[in-house]
Order: sequence, then structure tokens, then C-alpha cells
Amino acid sequence: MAEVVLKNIKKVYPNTEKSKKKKGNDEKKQKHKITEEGELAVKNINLEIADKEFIVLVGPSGCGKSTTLRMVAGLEEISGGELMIDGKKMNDVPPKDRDIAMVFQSYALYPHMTVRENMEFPLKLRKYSKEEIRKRVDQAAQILGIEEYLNRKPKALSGGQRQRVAIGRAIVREPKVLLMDEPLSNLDAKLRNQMRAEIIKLRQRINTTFLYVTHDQTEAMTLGDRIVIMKDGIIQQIGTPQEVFEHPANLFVAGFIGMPQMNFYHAELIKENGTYMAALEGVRISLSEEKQKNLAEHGISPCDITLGVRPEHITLSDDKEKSIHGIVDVSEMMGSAVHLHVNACGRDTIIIVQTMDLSDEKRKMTVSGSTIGFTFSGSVAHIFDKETGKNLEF
Amino acid sequence: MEKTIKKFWPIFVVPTLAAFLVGFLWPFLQGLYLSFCKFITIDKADWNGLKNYIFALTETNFQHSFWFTALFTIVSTICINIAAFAIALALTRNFKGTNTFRSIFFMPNLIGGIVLGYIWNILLNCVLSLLGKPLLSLYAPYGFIGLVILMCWQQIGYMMIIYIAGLQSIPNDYLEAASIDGASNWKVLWKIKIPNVMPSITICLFLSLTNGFKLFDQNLALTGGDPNHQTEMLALNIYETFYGRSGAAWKGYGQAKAVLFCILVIAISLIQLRATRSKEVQQ
Repeated sequence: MAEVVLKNIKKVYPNTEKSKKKKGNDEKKQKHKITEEGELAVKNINLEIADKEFIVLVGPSGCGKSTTLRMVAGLEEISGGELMIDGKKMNDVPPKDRDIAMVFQSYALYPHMTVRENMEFPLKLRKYSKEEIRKRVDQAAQILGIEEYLNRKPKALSGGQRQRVAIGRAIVREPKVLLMDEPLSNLDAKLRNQMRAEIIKLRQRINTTFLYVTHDQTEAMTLGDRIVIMKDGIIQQIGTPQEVFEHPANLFVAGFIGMPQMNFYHAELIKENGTYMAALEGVRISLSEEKQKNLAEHGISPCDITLGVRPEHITLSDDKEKSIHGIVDVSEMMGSAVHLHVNACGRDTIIIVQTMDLSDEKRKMTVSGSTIGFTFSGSVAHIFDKETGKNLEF
Repeated sequence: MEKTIKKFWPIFVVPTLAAFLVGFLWPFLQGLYLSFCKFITIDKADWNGLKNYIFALTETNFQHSFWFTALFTIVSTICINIAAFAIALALTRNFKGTNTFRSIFFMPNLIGGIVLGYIWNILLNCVLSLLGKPLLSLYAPYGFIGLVILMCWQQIGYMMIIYIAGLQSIPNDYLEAASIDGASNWKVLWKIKIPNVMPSITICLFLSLTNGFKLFDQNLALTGGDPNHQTEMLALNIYETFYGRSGAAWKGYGQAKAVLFCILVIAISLIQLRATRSKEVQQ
């Protein structure tokens, strides 16, 4: 149980002779931030994780989330900045002395040891008494429901069972910080959902600080107290799941969080009689009071914008003047909802329509090839700068 | 497709089967039969019962060769494998020039045994004469040590390559997990690396055991069995029995010794494979 603080943490992979000789194009160099110093994998990360908090690092492949986690674990050298665990600087402390435990994506269970031996291993290395080891292993096995597999070797276990053992090996030591590197990525969708719930339950039973890495935004949203969204080694936004969903800081966060992803349109921000409105395809959408206030506070002038609306916030509309029109390309029946892919405003718009809300007349509109009208409220519209992608309300 | 292949099975099976029967099974069975005979050529063989085997098992030189070979095999297997594993460990720590070192260590294996034997004969005899000690062929303990040095020099590089492959196949996650669990380098070696390179250990032990038992050309070139058959290993003893003496009886004795030798090597290899295979793990 401890507070973890990352101050200006940086990771640079030094240029090797080979990489110096490689002639990549400038765009590639820009994307990977290749400087004279080397390749910049993580850039000045600042993050304060409170005691017993569950923090999720989320982002696409290569965004630096695993590198950050590995720096906290001590598996990667920290190129710059300070890492503090429980108030102590940990930059040069070897992994075994950081009082952390880690669950790997590949489980990393020792194949020549039984489940019990795997779980006993860290305790034996720390010279715990036999009774204490037995007690802790039995307790962890009971929490994770793996008592009956204790004498099996990892190869005789399923993916989900192996994952439980890996978690068991991590929690027997009662570490200050529990690190998890995409622990559910190797599981099938059904098992992943089940294990996600198990981790939530586990979190309630063991009081420790969690740092969890995933590329799956659903995992991030359901598990984290706060989510850290990363891209190209830079933190894009830190916030609770609700905050990042409702108030994305930029286009990347808006597009990354939420499934299906947010719809974006080229639109115009206009101001009439002191009121901000978004104009899209001739339809004017009045923004909510909160948005009016935020935009006014930042002194935003009328300009071209990228307008973002989540698929679940769009409603079908018969009003020909106040709705945007498009043609249904694909209609996907998901059971409780229909996902419509509509060709509107020159791009693909996804609309989620709850089936229980559909009248027979509207149901006919959801068939591929039909023309539909839709609209959305100004309170759910997100206004982004067209050039920088930054949310203009921030 | 499968049906068509099944239809033409003789085309695929017969060439290999014929080669196996003609090139291996028939000569082996004939050799087995000849080990019970007195013969000069294989078509003029007279049945001699178990006399050849009784002679082979009671001959002092053959018994001495067996113990000498066994001792040599044990010592060389231990030396080769410990040194090869240690070098493999050193050369899998990403420092500069590892590939060059790997090539250098592997090179002695490319030179034939007879050539190596003569080179080391000259080298060791030079050193011994400078130190004022008896030469290899005049003092059996030096001959023994010379053979061990020669075998180590020749085989360490080969075994090293197998160990390097084994060490590199250990997933990095195991080592990282162990370092987080609190394992020191020594513990990582004993508790993680060695159990996970058991397949390589099995192969290397098998190769060095069988190579040790079957050693012939290095033995012939380095000491030639001198002094007075004291450094004569089993293969050289069989060769000397078969080709070194004239008379129908000696061929039979040599053949019986060869069969005993074959059984011995197979038995030791199987025991070793069984012992180490049981410790192998599937990742």
C-alpha cells in the first residue's frame, strides 16, 4: 500500500550504430520521435497515484504505456525524471527491492514448478517461514478459487486458470504496488469479461495500489478509478472514466474512448446574439449552457471546428428542417440495439438505436438503403479545434 | 490428395526402407552373427559359440580399456558441459563481440579428430619436455589428461552453441518475473535457467557421453594407446584386436567386442536420456 509518483519520467532508447545508419523518412522519424539522443518512447510523464488507487494506463500499441509500467517495475532504466514509491526515490533500486509485484501478459509462470511452487517462489526467496508460506498461498488460492489446481503444472491449466495463478503469485507477497501488464489480452472475449469482474472483486479484497496497462478501453473504463490515456509517449488526459468519456481533452481521446467510436464532422462554430452554435450541413445546433460558459471563458471566436458526437447520443428525427440526412449503408442488429452506418455529411456516421425505442415506422427506416434523418442535442456535442484537435472547452 | 498419396505409398516408402535394410539392418545382423564365429572373410565363417564373448569379457586389456574409457567419458563430459554452459551464459549477455567469440569457440569443431590429435600431440609434448616431464606416450596419466584437454578443446564450442540456443529460448518474462520475485542472479541460474535448458542439457550430455565412449581418431593420433595399451580406449582396442592381429580367431574376438561396445553405448545413452528427459519441461 503506497503512493506512487512519477515526476517528468522520460524513456529514451539510445541510437545504435545500425539505427543511425537507417535512413527513415522524416514522417517516420517524427512519429517515433527519433532525436540525436535516441528514440523517445516516453516523454515527461507526470502522474500521482494515490494509496490504494486503481490507475489504468491505456492507449494504442507503441504509445509507451508498457514502457512506463516497466520503468515503475524496474525492468527498464529511467532515462530522466524521478520515480517515488511510498515517498522513496526508486530510480536506481533493483526490482526485487521495490516491494512491487507484476502480472505479465504471458503469465510468466515457471513451467517446471507446480502452481503451489510458483506461488511459494517469491516467499521462499524472501525467507518466510514454512507455516507463513503455506498460510499465504492457501489464502491467495482461496481468494482466486484455484485450491484444486495447486499441485498441477501450468501446462495442465487453461488460460483463465493460469491468469489466476499469475495473480496469486503476485498477491501472496502483499506488495505495496501491484503492476499488471495487459493481463487479460491472451484470453478469449468471454473469459476476459469474466476475469475483468474477478479483478474488480479482487481489488475489493486486497488493499493495494494498482497500476494496470491495457489497450482495451472497455477494460480501462470498467476497472480504473482514474484512466491515463497515452499516445506517442505523451499523456493525453488523466481523469475518471466518466470524465474522459464526457469531457475528452482532444480528438484522440474522444476517438479512443467509447465503443463504437465518436463521429466527427467538419462544422462551423458560430455566434449569434452572444450564443454559440454549431452549424453542420445547414442545421444549427445550440450548445448547452455549460458549453456556452466554457467557450466564453476561453474567449473562443467563431471558427471552423471538428464536431464530435457519440453514436449513442444521436436520435432519429422526422423533422426535415432540423435534422441531418443520410443513407443507411449497413444496419447491424446487435439484439438490444441496432448500429446504423449512415452515409451523411460526406462520411460514415454510426448511430446506435435502441430496438425497444423503435416504432414500426422507424424500424423500416433502419433498413439498408433507406434515407433517414437524425439529430443530437447541443449538450452532447464536443467542439474540437480543427487544427490542433484540442477540445475548445478546456 | 491424401487418398492419392496413400495409393502410391510404396514409391515413398520403398527407397528409404531398402536403404535402411541394405545399409543398416542386414550388416548389423550379419555382424551380430559373425560375433559368434571364427572368420577371415564373411563368407568363410565357422560357428564358434560364446567363446568370442567369453574371451572378450575376460581379456585384461579390454577390461582396462573399458574402465579407462568410462573414466575418460565421465571426466570429459563434466568438463565439456560445465565449460560450454559457462561460456554460453557469458556469451548470451549482450556485450559487444559475442558473435565473434561464438565463431572462435566453434572453430575447433571444424577440424578433424586425427589432425587435432597430431597438433595437440606436438603441443603437449613440447610443453611436457619444457617442464622436464615424461611425454604423453610414456606416462598414462598425462595421456589421459591430454585426451581430456583435446576433447574439451574440440567439443566445448559445439556444445556451447546448443546451450546458447537453449538459453535464448527461455522467455524473457520468466527472468523478469524472477527478478521482481526477488531472485538473485545465482537463484535465477539454478531455479529458472537450468530447469528451462534441460532439453539442451539432455542433448549435450547425450552427445558428449556417446562421443566420449566412441572416441577413436583422437585417441589414435594423440597417444595411440601407449604406453603399453594403458591409454587405449574401447574403440581403439576393438580396432587393434580386429586389424592389429592376424588369424581367424581375432576377427571373431574383435566382432564380439564391437557388439558388446554397441550394447554398452546404447544402454548408457538410453539411461541418460531417460534420466534427463524426465526433468525436461514444456514451456
